[in-house]
Amino acid sequence: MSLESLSFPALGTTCHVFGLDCGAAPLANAAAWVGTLQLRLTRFDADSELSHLNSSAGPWVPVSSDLEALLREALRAHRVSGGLVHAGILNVLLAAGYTRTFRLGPTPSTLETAEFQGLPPLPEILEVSLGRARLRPGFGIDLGGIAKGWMADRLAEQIGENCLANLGGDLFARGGGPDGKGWPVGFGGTTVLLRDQGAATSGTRGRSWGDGLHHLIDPRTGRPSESNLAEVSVVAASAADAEVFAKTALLLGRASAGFFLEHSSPGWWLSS
Amino acid sequence: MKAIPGWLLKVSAGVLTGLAAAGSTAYVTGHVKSPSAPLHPAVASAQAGRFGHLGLGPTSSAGSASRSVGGHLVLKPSVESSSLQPITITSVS
Repeated sequence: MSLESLSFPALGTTCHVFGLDCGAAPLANAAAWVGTLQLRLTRFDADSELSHLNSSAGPWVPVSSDLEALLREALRAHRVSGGLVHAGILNVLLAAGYTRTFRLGPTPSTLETAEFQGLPPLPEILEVSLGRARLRPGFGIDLGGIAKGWMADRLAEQIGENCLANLGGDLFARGGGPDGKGWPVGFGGTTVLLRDQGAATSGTRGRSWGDGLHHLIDPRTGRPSESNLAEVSVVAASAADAEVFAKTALLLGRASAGFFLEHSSPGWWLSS
Repeated sequence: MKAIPGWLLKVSAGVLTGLAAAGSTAYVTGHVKSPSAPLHPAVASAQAGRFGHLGLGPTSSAGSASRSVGGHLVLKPSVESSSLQPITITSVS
């Protein structure tokens, strides 16, 4: 039994894909697919498909099947999270100074002078139909919070029956792994064996800058979250679900996160 | 039988009320609830003894919970922990 692996930079992070007895080609194809999708979905490139949607608010805009699927996933995430996972936070991120790729550093924040309030529900901002989408003027979409999980799930389908796709911490483990008992994954300071399960971590420690400025926006306030949790890891049936549950728990804060996760996840880790 | 003077009843009632207030205050200040504390710590610690080195999670009906490095970990039976070296990790990116 041979374990193949490939690491590559994408999505502003490092991605790792693994496959058992699958050969190198599926992993290379996976990396290529991620690269292609990244070009289409990034908000940091004015020519990307997502940027085109964001700059065309008002009328219906044709969208590719991938972008349509991700926008539908954004609406699902909003519904599942009770409105806490909200893709319509782009303007808040921009005001906070997250205007370009993170490695280039932030630009000055205008949050202090901006009069942000809670965001309207995502369905009031974004409509998706077959092959097209419509955005309410004055709002923009950021898919950074949900794209990695969604893509990890798709990758695991593409690579093979026994594989693992980890896109910057959002991962899906398919099959029994090297020993047939599950893929060993570092989770909350221990190792867990994941089999046909996803995991993800959401936190404010990674992409933070300045005083209280980070990329996790609370749609209830329209500002960076002030949760008393700094990091949440979650196991779920898919990477997409794990990402949504982790972010929801983090935004809920310690007092409510456990109650929420008790009904949605088989394993979690909370850190303040 | 001689009747108890009214003033004595009033004084007694006042003393009892004062003692009850003082006792309540002492109990409450000794059991301050911290909003940032883990949920139901008493339940968690009681369950910990039943389930060995990994205690049952404070919000879990089945599974295990523990304080890992810098955090609180809960694993239900469908997630198996292992001593194997992880092949990859989930972390903030």
